[in-house]
Amino acid sequence: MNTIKIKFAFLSIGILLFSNHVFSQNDEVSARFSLPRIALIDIEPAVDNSIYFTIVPSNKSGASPQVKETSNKKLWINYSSALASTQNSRSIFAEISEGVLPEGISLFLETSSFIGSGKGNMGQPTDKISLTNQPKAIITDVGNCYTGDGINNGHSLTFSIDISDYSILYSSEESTFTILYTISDY
Amino acid sequence: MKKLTFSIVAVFFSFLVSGQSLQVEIEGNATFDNSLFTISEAGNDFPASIKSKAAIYISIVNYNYLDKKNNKNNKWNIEINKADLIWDDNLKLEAKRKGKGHNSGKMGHSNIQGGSNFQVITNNGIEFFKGKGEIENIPIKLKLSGFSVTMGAKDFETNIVFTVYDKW
Repeated sequence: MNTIKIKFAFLSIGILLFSNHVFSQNDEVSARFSLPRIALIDIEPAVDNSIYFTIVPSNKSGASPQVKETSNKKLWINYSSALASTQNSRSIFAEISEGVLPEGISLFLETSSFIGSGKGNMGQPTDKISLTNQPKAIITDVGNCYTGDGINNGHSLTFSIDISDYSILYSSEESTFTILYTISDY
Repeated sequence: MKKLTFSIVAVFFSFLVSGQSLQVEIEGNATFDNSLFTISEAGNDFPASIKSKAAIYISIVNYNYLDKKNNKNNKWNIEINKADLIWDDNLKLEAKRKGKGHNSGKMGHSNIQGGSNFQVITNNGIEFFKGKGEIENIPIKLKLSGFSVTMGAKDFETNIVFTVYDKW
């Protein structure tokens, strides 16, 4: 009987100690997400972003015709890019997708270095290119980045026209060209 | 024989009393849908933050019959932490309690406090909210921020751990 009492006393003390112990138990849930690949590009200003050039004869006889940009507008290229880990970089290409340049005329595009509010590994501009109907790189080494949206963000685009060959230059009506920009994994 | 009977009763009794009484159970998933990661305009980053579309639900249950019967208003608190699998230090995961759930097997409002504002989930446990008794289906909403296109296209994963303590 005494043994039972002693055991009961120990048990009671044990229960008392145990009941003051803080228990914990947990469960968990997995939180997952995937950042997608992104390749977006646009030209700012988004509306009315045409550039106009006029070629007028010189006032002086014997002098070359003058090329004037009448629109006085600066265009900007904005982009957002997120690459897969297996990719190194992207490039941005420009080409004349619609319209044909009049004979004797060359259209050039010069791209500035990045400025603006964006972050990341921005692309590097190439040298001034002569636009044709074949895509040519204007920005290379675009990494994971965003330029910021709107004018004064990204790379400014400066167009110019040169009369490359007077011997085949003829008077013509208005010519319209469309420039297509493509961001590419290549 | 008397000793054996006593031992069996003692063991059974100690199981009833000393066995862990409260458990936390989770339902639902914490996956952030891909459609949330959109960019409205070229040149922009992802949105600053996104909220999980679906909620996860936490229930505090008591599988200890004796404790459940004698101590219906067990006090408890929930701590929350995360254990990263693939993560980035710039990412910020937050959680908040979006409702009170409901009492298990009895009428009336559930007794639950705290956790109704978003709080950052870190790798160290912090108190999330506390309550009394068994409460089922407490909805938890998650918010994610700090992600950017500058991180590239990647998968991320962390385990959110909810721990119930039988204390306040």
